[in-house]
Amino acid sequence: MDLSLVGKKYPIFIYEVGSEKIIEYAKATLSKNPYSLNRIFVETTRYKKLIAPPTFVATYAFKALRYVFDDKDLGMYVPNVMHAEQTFEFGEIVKSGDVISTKVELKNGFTKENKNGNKIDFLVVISESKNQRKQIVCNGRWVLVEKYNV
Amino acid sequence: MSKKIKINEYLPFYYGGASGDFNQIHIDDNIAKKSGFKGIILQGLCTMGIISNYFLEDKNPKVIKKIKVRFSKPVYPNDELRIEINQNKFTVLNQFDDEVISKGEITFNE
Repeated sequence: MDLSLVGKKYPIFIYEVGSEKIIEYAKATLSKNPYSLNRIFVETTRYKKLIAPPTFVATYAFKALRYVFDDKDLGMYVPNVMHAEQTFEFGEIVKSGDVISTKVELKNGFTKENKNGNKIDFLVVISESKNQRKQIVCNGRWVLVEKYNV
Repeated sequence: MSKKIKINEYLPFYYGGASGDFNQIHIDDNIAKKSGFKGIILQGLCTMGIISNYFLEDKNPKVIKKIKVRFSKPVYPNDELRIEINQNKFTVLNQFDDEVISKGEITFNE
């Protein structure tokens, strides 16, 4: 990939959080958490709405990351791209009905060689997601690697 | 911890639908093999989500402040995972004792 594009920022992606998607995501990550799965239980809380599991960021921010994966100038060959590291730092909780805006930026990039002499590109992408009240809900640091000569 | 987490063979597809991550290495055996794997692999963020939910249990999701992982080795359908925890650090191992997540860290809100 073209690591000279480090510093590039992508358009803000807007995502409206739905109850069914929270439930679908929670089940797909083997959650049993009543805040995310039980509509009757959440009526007894002050929230009154389903709350997304913290890593639901993988849904609303991943769609913003699509801009990176689909960036022809960057030129990733996605089947050769692996997710190497991930950090999420959470702020406000995300509830059903929230509207999340996520912006991503190519923060850093470098190339290494593995023990076989094959080139591996590392790309660090950062994401910042805010709700409709402009409160941070999650900051993410995504480290992606692209292998060559697989 | 002693609890084992079994990765259902359909989980990469189910998680793909839930998250939108349909990278072909998660759904197409041939593409995955061409990319150097022995078959389709689970999305790393799915593994991370499972582990996060393991720590969360039935508590309010706001209790988790930060989580960090390094994806060391791929997780395959039908793998059986277990977590080893040392204070706020953790590793995740498969049934062969390979670390699939290393240098895991989790921080909780007070």
